[in-house]
Amino acid sequence: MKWGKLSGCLVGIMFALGFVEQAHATLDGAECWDDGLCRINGCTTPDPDCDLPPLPRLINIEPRRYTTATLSNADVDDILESASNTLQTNNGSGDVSCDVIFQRDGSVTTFSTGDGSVDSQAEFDALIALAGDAKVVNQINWCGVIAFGIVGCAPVPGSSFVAVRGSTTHQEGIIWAHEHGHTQGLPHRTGDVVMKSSLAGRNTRVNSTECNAYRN
Amino acid sequence: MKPLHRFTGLLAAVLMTTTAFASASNVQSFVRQTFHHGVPYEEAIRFDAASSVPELLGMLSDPNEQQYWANIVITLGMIGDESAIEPLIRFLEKDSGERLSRSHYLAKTAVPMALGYALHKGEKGRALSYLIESAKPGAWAKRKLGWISPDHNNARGRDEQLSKMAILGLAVSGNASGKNALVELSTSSQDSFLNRVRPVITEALQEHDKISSQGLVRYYAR
Repeated sequence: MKWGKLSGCLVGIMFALGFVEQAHATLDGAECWDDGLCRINGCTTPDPDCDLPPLPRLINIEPRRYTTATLSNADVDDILESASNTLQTNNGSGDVSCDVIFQRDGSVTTFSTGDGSVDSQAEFDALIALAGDAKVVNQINWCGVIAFGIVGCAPVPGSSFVAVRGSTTHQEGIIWAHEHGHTQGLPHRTGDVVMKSSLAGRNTRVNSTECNAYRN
Repeated sequence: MKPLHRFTGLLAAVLMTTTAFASASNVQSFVRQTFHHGVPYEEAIRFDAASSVPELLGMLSDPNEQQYWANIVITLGMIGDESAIEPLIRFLEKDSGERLSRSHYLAKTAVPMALGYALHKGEKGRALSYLIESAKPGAWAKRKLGWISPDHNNARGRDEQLSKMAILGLAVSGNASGKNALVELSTSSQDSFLNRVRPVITEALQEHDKISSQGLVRYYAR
């Protein structure tokens, strides 16, 4: 087994050299080696000897906000941690533990496109065209149709989403996970699920198909 | 047969009472939800106006329900009962001198769209004239709104946002007079605000046409 070979040989060498911690870090960041030794995500390569469990899929989110919207780096970290926990936790029937970690990609930056309120497709498209993955605005009144009380909107699939601030971090974590799910091509469905069209604290479940979409 | 008739009458009365009670309690649960993509029209219009409107108006005057006020306003509009029109307008215009919380502000901005939804359910002169006036920011100065938006640095920004909401309200009304007002706004070139929001007006007209021809239930059934 290649992992045995790794453990017995490479780690032994690293021990001898006093670089065990560094060796593990190196392993986590590498691809499958030519001789079959593996590391993070390398198990997706056609290597029959690669038997390491897949490591969490890191999802980088570049956060942005309209100039008058409120969103700090700490806010984003809390929201992303909540979104990660929502997807990782197996809440029982119909749920899987989806091993993804949302992480902030850079500091929150601002944009002045529009007026902070999304009221038409043209305004929505202009925001989606901006760089960044999560764009926080003050109000959303258009998402495919004119409506009121919209907390998030994303193209299905797409490259980014627009959201407003929620009332709790847990709620915002579900909003961001839901909208990112849309960008990955996920539609709505019923049940106590992240992709439900209404938002409740219990709507935290994802099935294996949805998990795969998040991990792609 | 007589006893059966009496039983049927009694059962019907019990069912009506039960239904009315369920509507009143369910409407509270309904408006306390958060909807990813907006308050669902088809669900909101199922609530019985006679029992739900007083319940919702009561919640709208209760500061403890402030976080749900926006949903309450929109649901009142979707139910579309005439008795809610004046209370909604008063809710928008009242308060002065204070910078509103986000939830309070959002609820006020919901009123023009709520009036549009109410108008979709039937001709309501007061709602229509209020919306048409409101589509131009100058209307808000005349009404001497005293409250401060948390999203804008000045009254002008607040007024322009409210006028955009009125334009959306005219769109969801699907009302013929509402369309005429939108056409007039789209061709006006004197007003800098209208020039800036012309793309919104153009799309509002397109949405109005869809809503007018197919109704809001089908418009939202996608």
